[in-house]
Amino acid sequence: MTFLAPAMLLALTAIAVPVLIHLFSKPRLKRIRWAATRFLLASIEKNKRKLKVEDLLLLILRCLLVILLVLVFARPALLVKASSLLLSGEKTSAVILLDQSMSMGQSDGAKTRFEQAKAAALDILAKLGSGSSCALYLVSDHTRMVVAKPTQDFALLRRVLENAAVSDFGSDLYPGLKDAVDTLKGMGGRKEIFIISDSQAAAWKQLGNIRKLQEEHKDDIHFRYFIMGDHGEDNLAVTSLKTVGSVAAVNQPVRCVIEVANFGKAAVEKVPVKISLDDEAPQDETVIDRIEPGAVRGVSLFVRVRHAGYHAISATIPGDRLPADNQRSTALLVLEQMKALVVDGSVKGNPVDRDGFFLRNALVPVAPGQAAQYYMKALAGKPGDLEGNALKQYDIIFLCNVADLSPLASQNLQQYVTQGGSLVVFPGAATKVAFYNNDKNFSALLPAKLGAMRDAPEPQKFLAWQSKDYAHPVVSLWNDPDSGSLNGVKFFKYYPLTVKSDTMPVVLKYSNNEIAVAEQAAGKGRVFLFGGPATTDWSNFPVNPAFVPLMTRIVAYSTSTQGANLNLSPGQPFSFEVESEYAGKDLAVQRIGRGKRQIVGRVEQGDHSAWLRYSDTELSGAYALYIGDDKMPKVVFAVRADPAESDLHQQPQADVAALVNPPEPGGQQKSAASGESDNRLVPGKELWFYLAIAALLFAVLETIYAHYCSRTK
Amino acid sequence: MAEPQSNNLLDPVAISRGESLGLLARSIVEGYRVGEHRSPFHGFAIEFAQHREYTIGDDTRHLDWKVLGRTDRYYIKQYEQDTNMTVHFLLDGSESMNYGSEKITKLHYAKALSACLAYLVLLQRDSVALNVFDTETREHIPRTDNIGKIHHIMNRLAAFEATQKTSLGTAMADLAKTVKSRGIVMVFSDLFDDEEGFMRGLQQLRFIGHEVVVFQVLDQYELEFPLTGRVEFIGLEGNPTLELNPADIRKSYLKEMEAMCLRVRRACEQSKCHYVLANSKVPLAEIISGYLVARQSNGVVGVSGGKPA
Repeated sequence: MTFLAPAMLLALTAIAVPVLIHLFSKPRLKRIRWAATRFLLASIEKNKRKLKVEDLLLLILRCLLVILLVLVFARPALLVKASSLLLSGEKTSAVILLDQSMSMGQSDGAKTRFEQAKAAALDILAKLGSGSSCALYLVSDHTRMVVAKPTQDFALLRRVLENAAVSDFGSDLYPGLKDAVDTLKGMGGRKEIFIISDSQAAAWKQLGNIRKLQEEHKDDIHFRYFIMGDHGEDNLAVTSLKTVGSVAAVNQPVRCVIEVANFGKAAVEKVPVKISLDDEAPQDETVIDRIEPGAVRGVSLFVRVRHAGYHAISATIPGDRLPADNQRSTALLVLEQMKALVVDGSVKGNPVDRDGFFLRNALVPVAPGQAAQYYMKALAGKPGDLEGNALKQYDIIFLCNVADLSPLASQNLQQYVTQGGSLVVFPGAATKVAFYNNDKNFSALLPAKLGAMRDAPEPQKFLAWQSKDYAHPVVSLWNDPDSGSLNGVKFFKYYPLTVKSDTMPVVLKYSNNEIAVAEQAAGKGRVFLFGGPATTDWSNFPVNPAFVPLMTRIVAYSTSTQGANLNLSPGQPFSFEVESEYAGKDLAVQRIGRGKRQIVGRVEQGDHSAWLRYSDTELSGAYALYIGDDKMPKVVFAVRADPAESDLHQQPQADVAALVNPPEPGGQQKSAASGESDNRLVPGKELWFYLAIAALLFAVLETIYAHYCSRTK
Repeated sequence: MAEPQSNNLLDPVAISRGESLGLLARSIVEGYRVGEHRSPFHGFAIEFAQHREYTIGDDTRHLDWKVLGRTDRYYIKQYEQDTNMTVHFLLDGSESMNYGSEKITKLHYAKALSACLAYLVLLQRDSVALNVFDTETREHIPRTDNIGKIHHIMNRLAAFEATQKTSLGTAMADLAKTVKSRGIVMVFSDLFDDEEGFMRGLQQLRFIGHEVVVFQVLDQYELEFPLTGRVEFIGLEGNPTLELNPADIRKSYLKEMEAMCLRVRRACEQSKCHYVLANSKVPLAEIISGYLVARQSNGVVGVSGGKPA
């Protein structure tokens, strides 16, 4: 048994009152000279024991009465096992918070934690007293109030519980807890919040706020925690899947970097990793020999796409106790071909001497005979070409040693980038620094300002690019020593770059820490600025082995961001603009590799176009949206869970136990056990009512007995 | 009832009732004067009782000469003679008799009762003697049949103050030793004394041939114990002071009291004595008339003034 208002127990000192009255009371005496004293003595002798017993009984009764009254106000409650939760018979307003995050999908081999949680919730419903009402919230980093207000319709609650399914949302208990408290605020009677969750650390990331909330409402709301699963931190997960390197184009190998994390406490060996396109058979696979505990291993696998359009790539590892993170997908747009415009700043007779010569060759790194079949078409152009209206046809534009631009060209270029085009700028000897830094339209596109051209410092007379710590995705490939190094690129002359803000992404630096390449997003597009030309006039860059892969990666990176909205977080609604002619047609969805195609609505009419909208994205994976009876999906998108949710590390038991059993002065915290075998003792049924009845009975008994004792004997 | 003064010890009502009934001795008493009481001695007076053979030493005046003449045998004539009665009043003057729940104490009640009875006795030309005692005899009025002495008796009674313990048995034994002629002994006491001594005294008096009448004088509060609240009982005659709630022991007390009264009554019955319980709340007239009625009904031991609760 415990006390909900233990401070009231101090009033037990009042037990001294009847004792003191008993010991020291001096009632008013009548004095009589009495002759028949011997009969009194005889009677006293006969009744002495009886009188003493009566006095003692009266004293005991009065002390018990005081004790009972104090206990009533101290609100004693039975300690019950948290799993049994003896609430029967008491009218309660309750909210059940059911953790719906991805980690609840972890299985013990027979049941998932979510299934155990549902059983616990049904058990709670069964044990709530008659007249009780209950609400049901599915909590994660998205709180879903499936039964928003406490209702007495338990049939509805059971039905909703039975239909509830685990999601791939991230974990965070606090928002749901806050909502539940707000819901119960205006309600009367006994109030309970049942939190059924695993003890995944991510769920308790707002532990401080949870403690504070619980402390603020400790007097009016009972917080009861049901922890499902007390072990099972071992988990292997695909935490990242990215297409890197090259542009996703038909029949071109798409390099995918897959990261597999070992969240367990033991090393894992021989982990096969497979990659597949859409719901086809795996195209590539590899085996990771060993992943140390807590380590992440990345592997590169290739996928080749045969048809242009939207596709999903999925990386898979063998199944384990948490299946949701054993596969990760990414959606991408595969192009039939790409067009790049390489603008030469100066016109020279010999093609080799042109400013974009090396660049055009690097963009189409195939034999001349094969160039026609190659997806990339690199076209040479003049600054004047930028004044036309045809810039939209280019996926990317390179400016090589361009001195300046006409206002029209500058304006067109600005529009092109902000509408999603990509721009790469190589300043050269002809470059007018003042124009680059000051032109209203053009300078706004650039991530950095150019300093005056300078020679490389003595004594080397050249500046090499940095040799390690490549943070930007475009150059991260060279973090792997097997991929070579960018340190071989040496500039003899360069424009020092000064980024416009410290938060601007820096792609590369020189070895002296000056900025060599900067990048920024401008509108929907992206702009790269180099510190020198793409010729051999100032550097060996064009002839360095890194030149071709770096250009390819810049093109891929720039253009891939155009399809960035194809990859969503769980719960994030997806929308995709299509031609207005599709408006009103059936919209069907299929989870690639995991379900059947089913109609989910209609294509919505927009102002000048139509929209495919789909919001049921709780589960991770690839989704294909179809219009009408089309055989091919109109668009494919992927939902990807937060990798942090795959980390099943438990919150330290002491933290959870402190919430479940707030520490008592001088006492020890009890550990929070888990699940159905949860043997933690928590305050259950309150006993004040019964004690009040007992106190009343004792008061009546005391009155009757005192009256009896005062009668003639 | 008024304050204990000599001139009001005689209750007119009691005396008038007593006069109408008369004080008839149930048994034969020894006396000097011819009264309404038959003498236990067969002497030579008016009424012939029987003959007996003459023995040497008999007064020849009592020879029946007619029988001698006719039969030549010597017979003495014997006669029954009415004689006067002496009533000995033995009044308990101990401190315990000073208790009275109202203005009248048991002692005053006993004084009045004995005065009334003494007056009645004197009225019918019998003799009275008075002994007031506690541990020893404090007042003694010798036998007298002079009715004019009633005032003297009452003055002596009124002047007496109780201060000592009781020794009733001793007083009764002393009386038995000193009074050889048979008579009536009336004892007025609350009997809060050694019961064995009292019973021994009773037997001694009876052995001599006295008719003994025991008036147990008790206060109504002693009989019914109706006190409430917390009471400090100041003990008399050396008894301790007690502080208690009377209600706590009432039943037990009344039981003890009743048992004591019953023991006294049975002792009286066994000794063929009168026992009269005199509740000081009850008017004297009722007590006296009750006693005399009982006495007239041929020796039934009377109990007047109610029984203990």
